[in-house]
Amino acid sequence: MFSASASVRALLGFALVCCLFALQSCSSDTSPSNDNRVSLDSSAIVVNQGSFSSDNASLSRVHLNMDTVDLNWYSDANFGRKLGAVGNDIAFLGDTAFISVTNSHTVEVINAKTGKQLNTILFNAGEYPWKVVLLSSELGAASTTNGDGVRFFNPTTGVVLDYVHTGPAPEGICTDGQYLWVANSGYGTLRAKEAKAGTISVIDIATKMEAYNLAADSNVTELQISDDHASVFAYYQSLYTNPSAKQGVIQYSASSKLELARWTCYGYGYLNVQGSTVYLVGKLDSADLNLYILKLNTAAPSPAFQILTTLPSSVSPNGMSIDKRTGNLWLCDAADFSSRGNVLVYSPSGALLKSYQVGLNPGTVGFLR
Amino acid sequence: MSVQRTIRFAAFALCLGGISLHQPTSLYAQTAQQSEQKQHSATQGRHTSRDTLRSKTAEVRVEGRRAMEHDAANRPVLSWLDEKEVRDLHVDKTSDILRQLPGVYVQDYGGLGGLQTVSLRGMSAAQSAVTLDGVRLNAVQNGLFDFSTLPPYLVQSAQTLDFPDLGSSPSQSLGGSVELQSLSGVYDSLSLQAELRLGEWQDFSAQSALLVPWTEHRSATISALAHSVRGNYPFPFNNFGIDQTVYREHARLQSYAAILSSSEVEELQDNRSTVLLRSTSREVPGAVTQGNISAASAELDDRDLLAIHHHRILLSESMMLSGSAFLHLSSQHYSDTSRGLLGTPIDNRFYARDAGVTTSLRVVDGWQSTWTLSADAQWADVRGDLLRFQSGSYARRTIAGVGLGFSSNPSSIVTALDLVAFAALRFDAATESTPEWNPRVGLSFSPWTNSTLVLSYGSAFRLPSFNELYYQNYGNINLLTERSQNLSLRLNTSHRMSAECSVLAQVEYFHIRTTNQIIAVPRSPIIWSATNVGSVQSDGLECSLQLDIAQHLHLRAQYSVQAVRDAREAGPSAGKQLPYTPMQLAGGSATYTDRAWSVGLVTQWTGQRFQQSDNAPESVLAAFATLALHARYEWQLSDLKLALIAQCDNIGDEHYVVVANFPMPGRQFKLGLEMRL
Repeated sequence: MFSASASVRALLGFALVCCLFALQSCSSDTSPSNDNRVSLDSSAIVVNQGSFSSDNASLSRVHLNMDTVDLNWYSDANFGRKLGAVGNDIAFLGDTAFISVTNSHTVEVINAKTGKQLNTILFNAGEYPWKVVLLSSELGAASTTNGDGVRFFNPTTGVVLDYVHTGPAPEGICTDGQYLWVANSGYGTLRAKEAKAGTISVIDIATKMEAYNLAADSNVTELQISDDHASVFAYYQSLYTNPSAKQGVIQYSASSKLELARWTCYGYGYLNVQGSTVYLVGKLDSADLNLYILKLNTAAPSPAFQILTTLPSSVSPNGMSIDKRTGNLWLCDAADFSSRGNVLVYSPSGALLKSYQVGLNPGTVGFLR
Repeated sequence: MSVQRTIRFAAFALCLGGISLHQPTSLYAQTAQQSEQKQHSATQGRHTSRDTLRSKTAEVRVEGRRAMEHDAANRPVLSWLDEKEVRDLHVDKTSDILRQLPGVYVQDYGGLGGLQTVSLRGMSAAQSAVTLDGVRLNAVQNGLFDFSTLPPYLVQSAQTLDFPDLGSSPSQSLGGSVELQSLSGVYDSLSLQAELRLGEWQDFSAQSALLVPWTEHRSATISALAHSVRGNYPFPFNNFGIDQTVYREHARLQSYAAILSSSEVEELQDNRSTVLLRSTSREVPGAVTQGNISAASAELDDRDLLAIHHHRILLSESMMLSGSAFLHLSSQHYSDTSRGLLGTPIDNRFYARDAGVTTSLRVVDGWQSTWTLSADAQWADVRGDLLRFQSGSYARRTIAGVGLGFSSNPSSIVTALDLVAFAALRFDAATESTPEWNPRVGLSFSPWTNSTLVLSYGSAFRLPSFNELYYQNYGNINLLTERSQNLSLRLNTSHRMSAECSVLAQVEYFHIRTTNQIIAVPRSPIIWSATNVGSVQSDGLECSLQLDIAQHLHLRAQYSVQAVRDAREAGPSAGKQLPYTPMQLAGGSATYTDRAWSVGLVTQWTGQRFQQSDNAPESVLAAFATLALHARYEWQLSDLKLALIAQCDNIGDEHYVVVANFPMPGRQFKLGLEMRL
């Protein structure tokens, strides 16, 4: 009896410790921190685009607690199966990850812990899913670049649903829960003269209708929404064939849909938002490629981007993601675009923390905690 | 008198290298090399009004193959296939002929009518010059020549060279050059040849040639051919984890070609005119990936006309003047009805014109050394929908150059070794680039009987193509000319083991260093720009062997090993093998002939390549080998000679790709009928 009650007490004690640890973990989710304590399954899943005419998109998994990389994780976990051609985005629904594979017309559904393939959502042949967002367990959406619109789908069943036409070559996409914001890039100069090129379509999710069409600028490619859903930030690339063309960032009010501010820069860049802080990779008034930071909640009447750090000249940025838990910036470096790329991890203060070699042309990182 | 003069001229011509040994275009050359060539020769009986003695001897028919190249200084031939060897291969693609030459790599974009380019010694296809009857075929628009548009039936012989002739332009010859000779010759009787061939996947071809001797010295050749194939061959494919057999669709090819050639050989001069007309319409589907075939409904139409005239005249016993002129008109129409990046169907057209003249004076001085003075000029333009970047849809180029070459008398330095010293200096100027000076020096000698050792050094250059300069979203008008330094050491040796058995072997080491290499550099993930950032070093060894046994069995084998490295000091690709450049190549053929029967095989093997410039293991493209077999039986019905041919390509049904995601055909059976009247 003694030994039994001792065992029960020990178990209860252990359970209590576990609960306290779990509560501690939950509490740390409320704000970004540099607390790198992670669960055994915590990982960063890197979507490697591959090259455009090949079946060589891949997923690399960075195992955060072991600090190791499974270079070709998806293929290894699925007996050599190929992910497809041109992987572009990743979104999570619990432990399930949805990866858009643009030129294969699919959204691949996997178990984010094991990498096992669960389902393949097949889009119509003319639709090229680029960016993907999940609105609920029953509704997801993907911008379809060559399809010129947005395709909704059921993430649970894998059934494709309604299609909404937006404009030429939609790329970036984000949502505040009520509206879906879609960036109609127009593919740079290729379709710049078409109607609605360089605009943002705002889709009412309930009606599946375009509620607003906002003027942006030529080749608007990225959309990010602030964590409080107050602002939407757009990044436009201007036109590739004009070397002096300015790129820039536009801030919209998510509620009024009005443009609030605009910043210009040079060179190809990437944008992401953490809380009320905007990060940008690009060139503003410097010949160097920099990582910039813009803090919106300062008292300054017109906040400006500040250099956070200068990136190595060998870096070819191909995307930027933010680990919402730590606030760390994961910069995707495509190297020479025909070799394995890297992911550079920067702290919110701009310190280079880690570098991982991943697959060909990494573009997006998703985080599983 | 005439015979003596003729032989002297022939020796002179051979010494100059001005006459290709395999071309039966020169009376004098024929006379000198008749023991080497298969000809219906009438040279013994030819005479002129200058002869003091006129006589006519019986026709002498000689069977044999082209011998080892003796004039290493002027004609730095690496390897060759003569007319008989070309015919004995029974291949349907000109690129398959070239695969039998060492150092040749064929980039094939799949299908029976897909784009095929050829590169030498690990250099790019744009860095490997291709000529037909001496005229450069590389398109000024992209620097490439698509071999799928040149039917093998029109090719009489092929050879590769590591340097151009002394004094000639080394433009675009960074890796060397491929020289093709079209069907032509001087014939002594009217002859009609026809051939029909049927194969799987609705592969049908018909070709004919009419050989007309107008006079004793003048002949004409009229050839025509048609080729049609649906190209819907099966290939295995893993589609989202499921193994399937997929049929290549939308891969139709229709090709028509005609060639008119006139050759005239007089005592003191010869000339040759050729007009080639080609028309090719084909569907060109892109890469096969899971869930998608890119450019699935794309079509490409090519039309061109090539007119060439060559003239040579013996000014004196020690002086020969040769000249040529050509005109090349071509059009290309690419269309794709599917919605691509542009969101609308694609409909692009390019029109190109290319014209040039070449002249060369060769003189043997009092010390029996040879001097060559060459001058040439070429003009080219392209009008195209996508040449938008600062060119206004139109681009043109003029290039002119002069060159002086020298080759010493073999007996003047060290007689016992047949030592020859040679040197050349070439100057070229083009409208949009800085002038080019390209030297070449070398030594040739015979270390032992029937052997030649040649050490050569030279430089070459390549002007940026119009696409590299002006193509939309890719062109860069600030590009510099690519330059290369080439060093080679070659040993040729031949040995006759018995009256019926001979062997010919060749080994060559090469070193090529290219600077200002133009490569595509990303300006953004989807926009790439041509930029001079590369430096490439190519080192390799090429070996070839030919064996003839009792005039029944002819064997060829070749093997190349090459390290073609990115010579930049930093970056993920530094020191790595260039993508899509095999480290090893091999090939071989065997033909056995016995009376009416002949059987043969053709094989080729390509080592592994990398897709990625960092040579990542996951980007390896597997090595592959193919084997083709054929059997031919001929018989005669009165004056009609008939031959039945059965062949099987890729008999092992190897499933492979040369370019990733462009599957190649598997096993294909064919039947053919040849007629000769």
